[in-house]
This record gives sequence, structure tokens and C-alpha cells, in this order.
Amino acid sequence: MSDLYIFRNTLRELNRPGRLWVNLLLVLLPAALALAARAAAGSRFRPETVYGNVASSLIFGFLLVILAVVNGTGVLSQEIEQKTITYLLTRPVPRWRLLLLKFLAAFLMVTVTVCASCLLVALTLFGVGRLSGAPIGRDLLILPVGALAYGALFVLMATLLQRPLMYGLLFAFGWESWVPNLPGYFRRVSLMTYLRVLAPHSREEPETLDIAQVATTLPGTQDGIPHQMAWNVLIGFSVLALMLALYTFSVREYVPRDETG
Amino acid sequence: MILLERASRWYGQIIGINDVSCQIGAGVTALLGPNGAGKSTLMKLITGQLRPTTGRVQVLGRNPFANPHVFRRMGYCPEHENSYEDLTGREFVTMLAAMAGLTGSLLHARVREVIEAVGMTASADRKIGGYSKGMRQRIKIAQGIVHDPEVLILDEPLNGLDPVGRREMTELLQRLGQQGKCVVVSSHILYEVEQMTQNILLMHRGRLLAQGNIYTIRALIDRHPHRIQLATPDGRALARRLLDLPCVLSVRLNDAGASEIEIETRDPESFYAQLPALVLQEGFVISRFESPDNNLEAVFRYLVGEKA
Amino acid sequence: MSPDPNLPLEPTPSQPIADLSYRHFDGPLHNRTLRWWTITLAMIRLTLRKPGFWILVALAMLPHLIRGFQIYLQSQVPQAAPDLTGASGSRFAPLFFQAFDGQKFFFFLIALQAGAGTIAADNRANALLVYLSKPITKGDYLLGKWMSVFLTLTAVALVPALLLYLYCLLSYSSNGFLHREPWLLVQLIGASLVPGILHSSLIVGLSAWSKSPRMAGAAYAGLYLVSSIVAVTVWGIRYRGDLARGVLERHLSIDGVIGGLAQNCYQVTLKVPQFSRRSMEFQLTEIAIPDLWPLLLLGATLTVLGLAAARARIHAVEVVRG
Repeated sequence: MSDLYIFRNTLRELNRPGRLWVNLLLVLLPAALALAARAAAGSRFRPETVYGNVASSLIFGFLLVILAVVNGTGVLSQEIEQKTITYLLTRPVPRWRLLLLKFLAAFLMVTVTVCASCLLVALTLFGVGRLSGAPIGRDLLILPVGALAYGALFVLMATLLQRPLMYGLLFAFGWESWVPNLPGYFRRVSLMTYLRVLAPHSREEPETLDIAQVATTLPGTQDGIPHQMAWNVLIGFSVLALMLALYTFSVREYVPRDETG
Repeated sequence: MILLERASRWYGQIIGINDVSCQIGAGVTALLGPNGAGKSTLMKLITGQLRPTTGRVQVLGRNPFANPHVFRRMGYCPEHENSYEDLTGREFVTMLAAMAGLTGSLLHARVREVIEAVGMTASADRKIGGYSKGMRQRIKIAQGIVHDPEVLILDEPLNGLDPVGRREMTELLQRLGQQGKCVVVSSHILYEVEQMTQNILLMHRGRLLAQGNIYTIRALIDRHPHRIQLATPDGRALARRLLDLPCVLSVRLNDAGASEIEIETRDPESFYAQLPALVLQEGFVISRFESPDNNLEAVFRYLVGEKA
Repeated sequence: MSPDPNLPLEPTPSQPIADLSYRHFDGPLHNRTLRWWTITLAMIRLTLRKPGFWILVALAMLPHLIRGFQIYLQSQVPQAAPDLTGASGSRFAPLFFQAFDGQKFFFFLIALQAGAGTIAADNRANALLVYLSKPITKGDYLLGKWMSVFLTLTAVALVPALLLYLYCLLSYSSNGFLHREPWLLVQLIGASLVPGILHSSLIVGLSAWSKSPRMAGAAYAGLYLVSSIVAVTVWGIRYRGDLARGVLERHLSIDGVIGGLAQNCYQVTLKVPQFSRRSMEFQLTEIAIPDLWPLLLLGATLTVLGLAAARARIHAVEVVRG
């Protein structure tokens, strides 16, 4: 019973009226961009490549990550910021269960939003009849895995850091957008690399390549990551990060900042 | 019910509470002290939000830090007004009651009951975001008592309440104390505390200055003899007679007409026992009689003033 | 004008029942043109106390440090480190611009840290009531908040650029540094003002509409990143990643406007080595300076929108819903 209330209240907090509109906008934005790209491509329009571009850059590269950062760090930071953490931590609910339920609510929220957005992009570009031509089934399977991995990481950050949103953004749009494009093995220390292995998208081949792109496509610089390894890494990382987050939350003190008098 | 043994808590280089040892049992106990005295830190240690840096804290025989067994039997009303602004008062109390383990019809019946007890029935279905300070305070108290805890910790619970609200809440807390619950209330408004209880814990600069019944503590402050003021038309004569009493240390005429005298005594019990006989025997007329420093404010002033 | 303090106070008619209607402050306003400075100073002090801010500042200084090292290498071992900028004409301006380009992401993060809470935190604490009960206007309040973010960002942009300039001035004056690029100092000052103006206007505007600094920050992060991703994605699809084409379209985002205006300030046309799939060889692609006026118009629109949004939201009255 108490679990249901915690889960429901977290979902409710994540879907406050103002935020609901933002989420709706985020669901519609990639589809709108897909429409614009379709118009921009003109006679060269190929739904697979436009879908690939939009899905890889906007849905996987942006929407998934930013929603995971905001909601993942928010499950804890918001309670600390609005000082309601006090109420939660003085109730007879084990701390690990409290955080797990809040994480699950955030995970559900991120997954539903990104999957709805992805589906809408596919419908916009392929139409209902030709939907089988899009890798939508695969993406709808991999997006929750991404939400799980990023969500777990950002919840862990929230349990450890005072300003997790800032560091989360730095990681998400600094590290995660830079490291996967490096040649060699170093790109293996990025979650996005493994998501790209599991959900590769055919993209518009650029006419020219810069030095970094050339370096990654040269023979010998290709680091072939097996599918099984990508699955293992993502699931293993998610479980480990989540367990660490639950442990940290169970043993650390969380008191709103101006309340230490 | 609550036990602290040489408990200290540091925030980096700042000390929150310093070597505090005390026991708090059933009934209402007021936690007193000026701002920054360590009241909130002490409450956070008792409610298991913080761990002591050194020493030991036990509530109902257990370490309270992150301990659901303790929280099942403990209620806490924090000082801050922040809450889930988008929830209604009823939803807020219901959620926290459910988290405390109440279920089904008992849950809703109990929520209804406490909302009525704190006088929030009419506003319970409005969003907390629109509540006034006093309403927020009432709903906070409601969530603290909804699961009928044995130990209730309230941080400045009367802040923001109007006089009627203060009286109602004071009565409610006194009732809970009389039911055998351990109620700890922090405050720095001495007048309110005095009306609520005679049991105090007095803190200053992180240290526990005094604990127990306020009058017992007052009697133990030897450096400040009790002052008793008497208004009488024949002050000089009365003063002369009072000086003969062995328990009287000094007598002072407060005004030129000698219509008001102030005596100092280290044994007020003896003085109060001897005064009626003396007045009746000599036929003195006494129009006013008061003891200006036999109260909480004086205790507070003497103890804190001496340490300051 | 302040009243003469020697004049006796006018007697106020005694009123048993107080006038409870709402009144604006109608007393004398001190003729202090820098009323906003108090607010700015308080906010800047708050930012400077955050350890995270200094980490970002350190990171934001790295690009200039790297470019300084590059200049040093070029001067010491010209054969080993040929002119890497690939720019024609000026030699130093491209290095300064590239360093600025490397700082852009950190400007954004610093804007989030210094700006997300400027007004949102006051909204949460109902502090606007307190601010506006003092003899300051809405404009003073807004300017104070805006300036705190603007000055912080401008300092982060300007200080490393000035240090690099000083290094070049001391080391390469004899090599014609001042003679070849006499306007570089003005150019770098101009470019350093751009991120401050744009970021502070937008973040203050969003902050005014929120009660949570965290959510204001998240909203700005979304706006900033999504505008970049949309611009680059549309450009990528339309021009198939050809850097030489669609230069203006690529800059139609917050990040793009900042970069484009800075490039206009430095007047730098970059030459980037690109591998052509058609000819299967490397060639230098010239990246033109994006048109100034459309970018200026977009930048001004965003700035005005941000400030107008903030001004519309600043009220001294607490609005309670429920």
C-alpha cells in the first residue's frame, strides 16, 4: 500500500501541470523535426535515413539523455530542494525501497516519453502501412535499456553529489557526445557507444568527413563491439549503479542545506 | 523513551550539539534555547536524520538512524513549511499515513479523525500551495500524529498559528502527553511553553544547560535568590517584620511612598508558609503579591545569561 | 529628490483603524543610479562561493591555455607545428576564436549554475516581496539579477582571452603582433560580451517563471541543447554535412548565434581539412563567416524575449492558487 502511494506521488510530482506540457512538447518535437527534415530533403527524401538521423541525434542523443538527467537526478534532488525529503526519511519505509520506487517511477516516465516520441517519428516518416520498414521494434526495446542505464547512473549521481543536475548535464552532453566518436577502445567508456551498437541507425552519409570521422572509419580503428557484450555492459552497469545508489542512500545523511542549525 | 549518551554532532568545524546526555520520558517536554542553540540538530538526531559524531542516541531502545522500526512508532513535524504544493492537505496526510503502515478503511478513518483534530476539515481538500502559514502548520501536525505514534517530535509547532490556533494545538499536545506519549516540542517562545508543560530541556550553544521541572530548576539556581514583590499601604512596617524571618535575605522599598516592597529569599517554600500567619497576626493589608522570577523566562535568563 | 531632514515631520492624522489597502512605496527614492549593484554583488558573491563554479571556470580556461601552448610551439618549432589554424590573413584572431569556441559549452554550464536560481529562488522564498518593498524598482531588481549573470560570464570569457592576449603582446610584438592585428583587443572584448548578453537574458527569463532553480536550469538546458540539435540535424539533412554550405542555417540556435556573432567579431574565415568522398582526398574547406544581420536580429530577439519574460513575471504580490 505504501509502495503504491510513493510510486504514485513520484509520478505525480514528475507530471506537474507545467512539466506535463514540456513532456508533451518533447514527445512532439522529434516528429515535427522529422516533418521539417522530410520537407527539406525534397526529392532526396529517404525515410530510413531521416529516421536514422532524427532517432540517433534527437531521440537517443538528446531526449533520452536529458529526460534521464532531469528525472533521474530529480527523484532525490527535488525532494531535497523542496525539503520534503524530511517527511520521507522519517517514515517506516526502508530507504532503499523508497529510492527504488522513486527510480521506477522516473524510469517509467522517461521510457513512456521517449518511446512515444520515437513511435510518433516513425509514424510521421513511414506512415502506418509502412511502419515495418522502420527499426521501430528494435528501438522500442533498446530505449528502455538506455533509460535504465542512464537513469541508474543519474540516480547514483544524485545520491552522491550536491548539484547532480549540473554534473549530469556535463556528463551527458560533454562526455557522452564526445567519447563515442573517438577511435579505438576509449569509446568503450561511454554508455552511448553500447546503445549505438544495439540500435545502429542508418544516417545520411555526409559528402565530406572531418579528421576525427576519418580516423574512426579507417581500417584498424574500428572497434567492433559484439551485441552480447553491449547487452552485458548496459544491464550490468545499470544493476551495479542502481545497487550502489540504493546502498549510498541507505547510509548517507540527507538534510536540506539550510537546516543544519 | 528517548536516551542520549554523551552525544555530539559536528558539521565540519562547527559544533551542532556538544556532549549531550539526557533521558526523555512520557509527557510533554519542551526543548528550549535561543536560535542556534542546537535544538534542531538534537531533533534530527532523535528522528534519525542525522547520526551523532560521537556518543549514542536511542529511541524506544533502538538506534533511530534510518530505522523503520523506530519510525513506525514515532511522528515528526519539521520546522520548515515546505510541502508537496500540488497535493491537497488530505492527500498529503493520507500519503504519509499510508507510508506509516495504515491501510484500508482504517487509513481513511484515521486521516479524517486527525484532520478534524487539527481543525482542518473545511480546508483539507484544497491544495497545500494555497494554504496560509497556520494551515500548513496544522496539516504538518496532522501528518505527525496520524499513525498514533508513541514518540512525537515537533519543531516549533506553534509558529504561524493565530492565538486560537495556539491554544487548540497546545491543548492537543497536552492531551497527547496525558495519554502517556512522549511529546518533545521545541520553541523559543517561553510564554507558550510555560502554558504547555513544566518539563524542559534547556540548550545553549550546543550544550544542555538544564533538564527537568522548571520550578525545581529555579530552586536550584542559588546565585539568584527568589524575588517576591508585595504591594501594601504600610511598606516600611511590613519590611521591618519580614526582616525578622530567617528565610528572608533582604527587603527593598521600591518607591518613595514605600507602597511596594521586594524581598529576596533562598527558601520560597518557607517564606510562603510563614507569610499568611504574619499578615493575619499584624493586620497588614496586601493588595498585590507576585514572584517575577519564578517562571521560565527567569530560569532561561539566569542560565543562558550566566553562560553567555 | 530627498526631503530636507531638518524639516519637522508633518503630523499624521490619528487613525484608529489602519488603512489596509495595498500601496506602492511612495516615499523618497534615493538618487542612486547603482541601486541594482547591491543585488548584483550579492548574487556574484553567492556564485563565487560554489566550488562547482570554480571547477567550471578552470575547465573554461583550458582552451586558451591550449591555444597559448600552440602559439608557443609554433614559434619554437615551426617545422614541427605548422600553422594549425588554416586561416588566411590574420594569424592570431583564429586562435582566439577557436579558444572561444571551445569555451562555449562551459559558458552554458556556468550560465546554468549562476543564473538558474537568480529569480526562481526568490520566487520560492517569496523574497520578491522583500526586494520590492525596498526603494528599488522592478527594473533595478531585474538589472541587478541580469548583471550578476552577465558579469560572471563576461569575466569567464574575457579574463583568459586577455591573459592570452597579454602573452602574445609580450612575446610576439616584435613579430608584428600589434601591427598585423591592431583591432584584436577590441574584437576579443566584443566577442566576450556575446555569451553574457544572450545567456543571462534567457536564463533570467526562464528563472523568473519558475519556483525551482533546478527546473529553471533543466528548462534552459533543454532549450539550449534542443535548438542546437535541431539546427544541426536540419542542416545535416539539407546539406549532407557539407560545412561550406548552409552556414547561416547551422547557426540558427542559441549556441549557433553565440558562435556566429563571435566569429563576426573576430572576422575569421576558417579553413578546415575535410576528406571528400567524391575525390577521395583531403581538401581545405573554407567556412565562411555567417551573415551578421540575421544573427544579430535573432540574438536581439532572444535577448528581448528573455528580458520581457522576466519583467512580466516580476510582481511584488504573492499569487496563491489552490
